[in-house]
Amino acid sequence: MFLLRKAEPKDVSDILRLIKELAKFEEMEEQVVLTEKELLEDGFGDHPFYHCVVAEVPKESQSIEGYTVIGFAMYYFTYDPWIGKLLYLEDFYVMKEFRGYGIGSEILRTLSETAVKTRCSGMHFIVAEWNTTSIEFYKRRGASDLSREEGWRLYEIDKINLLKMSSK
Amino acid sequence: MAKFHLRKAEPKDVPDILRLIKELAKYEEMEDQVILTEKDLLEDGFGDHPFYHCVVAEVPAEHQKVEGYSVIGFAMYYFTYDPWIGKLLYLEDFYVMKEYRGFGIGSEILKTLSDTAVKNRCSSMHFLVAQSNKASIDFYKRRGASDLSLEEGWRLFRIDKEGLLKMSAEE
Repeated sequence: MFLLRKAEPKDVSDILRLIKELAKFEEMEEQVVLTEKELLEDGFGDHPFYHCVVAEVPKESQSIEGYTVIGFAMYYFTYDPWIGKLLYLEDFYVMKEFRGYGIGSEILRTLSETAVKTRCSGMHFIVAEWNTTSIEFYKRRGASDLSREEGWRLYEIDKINLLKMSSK
Repeated sequence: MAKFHLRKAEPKDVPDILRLIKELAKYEEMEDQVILTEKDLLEDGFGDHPFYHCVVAEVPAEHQKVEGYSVIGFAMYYFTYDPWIGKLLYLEDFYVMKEYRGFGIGSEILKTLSDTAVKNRCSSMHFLVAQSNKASIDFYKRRGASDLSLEEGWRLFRIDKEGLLKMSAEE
């Protein structure tokens, strides 16, 4: 038994915990420099830069360490200049001991509803090419690989180079 | 040397923004895929909650090379969020009309965006480039861009409207 709901300010420490768990799975845990304070300001201020859906279980079903928030999805809205608004799925994770119960599917279904209700033309997200489990999960739900079909590559100009450019 | 200035887009710029979006799409041989309208752009960019921001490049009337247009370049961007580091500036579209290239307008636009990113405490700027677009790749690499798809294996996926409706209707 579980329920999905919009994240609230009180969920910020659970969100950060789950972000770090997912990063650990990608062997990148030390790369998470974001703090609870930033998550609070950025997600629950005047202008939210992200939105979260959390999955919660009753106290009786809590995790081994005592957690009741056992999954989450972080998303925001992006804009395609040809078709308009899109829902962008940034992070999506369910704790290992709570998998296999359809929680992930339900989260994705909720996001699909949100996307349709807010008049988004589609949902975008990136997946690492080695993550075959996730790729299959998404393909079963109709996802197509735009990198393969249209040759898109994601690029980054980091802070050092932004400062370099902006100071010229 | 073309005199130009950059400024934040205003509601009156929406027809020019749509024109330039279509010109860029034409260059990518995708012009018929642009179904966005001026009304959408106006609501989505200049309402209570803007879903995108634009910087436009304008030339004075006397420097117009193409009949009637003074807005000759633009960049469309918005803010995204990396769960490890926080805010990012995402560059969505970036285009300068052919007749106005080679004068440093593109560089100036990118510099302005870098300023905006730093001022808004963004950790970096992200954007997509088609791997066939060598000229753009070189332009960005000269400015320190790295290919995260190459370095980290990221692939962009999409679930389109049909897929979304199918999922949201499931019990």
